[in-house]
Amino acid sequence: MMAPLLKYGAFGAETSLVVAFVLGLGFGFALERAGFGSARKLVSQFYLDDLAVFKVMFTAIVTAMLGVTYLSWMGLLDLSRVYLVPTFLAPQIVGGLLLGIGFVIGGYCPGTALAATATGRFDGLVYGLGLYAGTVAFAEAFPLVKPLYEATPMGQTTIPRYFHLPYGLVVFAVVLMALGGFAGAGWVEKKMAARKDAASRQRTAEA
Amino acid sequence: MLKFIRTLSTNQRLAALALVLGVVAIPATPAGSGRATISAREMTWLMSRGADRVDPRTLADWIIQGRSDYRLIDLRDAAAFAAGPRIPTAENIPVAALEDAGLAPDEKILLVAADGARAAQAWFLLTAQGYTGVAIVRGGIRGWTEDVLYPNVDGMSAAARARAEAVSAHFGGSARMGGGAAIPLPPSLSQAAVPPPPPSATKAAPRKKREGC
Repeated sequence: MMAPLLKYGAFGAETSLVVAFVLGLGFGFALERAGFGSARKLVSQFYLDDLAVFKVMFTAIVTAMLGVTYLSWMGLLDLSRVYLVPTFLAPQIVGGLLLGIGFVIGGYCPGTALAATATGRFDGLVYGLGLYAGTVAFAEAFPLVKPLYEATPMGQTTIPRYFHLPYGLVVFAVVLMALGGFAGAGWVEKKMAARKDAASRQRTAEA
Repeated sequence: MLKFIRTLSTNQRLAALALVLGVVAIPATPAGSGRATISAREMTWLMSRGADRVDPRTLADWIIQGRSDYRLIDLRDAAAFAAGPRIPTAENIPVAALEDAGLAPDEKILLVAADGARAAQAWFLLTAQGYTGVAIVRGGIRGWTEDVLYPNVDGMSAAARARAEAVSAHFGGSARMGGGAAIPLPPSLSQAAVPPPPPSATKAAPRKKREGC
């Protein structure tokens, strides 16, 4: 059996909806278990006192990357059939910044807003509604945005392909980046906790 | 060794596992399946939709816009490719070398050849192997020469004519009127003794990098 299962015809389009639903439940469960159903937890990322978002997301990236690498290495996954979102460098940088701003202001990203709504958080619901309103506004304003939207098309490219690097070497480099990132995140968290401690001690002393 | 592992936290053990898997993966290359499955229905659908062709004028627009989300493959042998005319941004990959050319099955691949049969063969080979975005440049090199470099502007509206002239000038060609046989084709494309194309025809537009921004 060769993956991607849908593209090799292991199941049809209807079944793929069921699979997507199950995967979505799993994703939402993982987000909630990581504490990402709470805007407080998410926003602490930007105050640098809790880097769980960074650590969870990077762990997910490394886990998925190693899984995909080994599965395709063993011939169980045809990586060439896996859909890649085409790269449009300039609009994606602008979009990333916009998403980041929305993340800081609203305390959620799209996925976590839905997870928060599911657990009955009102702010998550509001964020989700804003998300859909923004989507509609974008669609209506599309003719205005189109020049930026279509700028700098680079096709469906990947880091190994773009920089002509061996695939496995990039995998190894990303693992190293993650491990370095985790160590760095731990260090930052300790620093911030110490700072907070000092500040609260000072306040008690003043009182 | 075991003692040392016991002293590690779960997180540290997982990190060590990731590191080991990362090191082992260094020589990994994602395996292409190598299998070719032909879906007659899918191919027919692609053909009926017209997604298997690209008009040379459309390609000219893409080149002028500086789009880099496609790969233009010139299937002629090296000598014919060197003799020109060449389409800017084209890479010379003969059919025999397509397998090892490092094409990605999901990128937009445009094929251009001296004759339609060769381009169709390459289209079939690639599409059967799961390359999803393959298209043939309509008319091949001759189509490029006749529709873009030296377009016949007879009977065109003024606007269309101005456009065709601008595009042709961009690539160093010139528009022509009537059925004049003034298309300077190289001997490889035309048996008639016609003057060679002006040197600017193939050099006017700088060869752009395949990828990048």
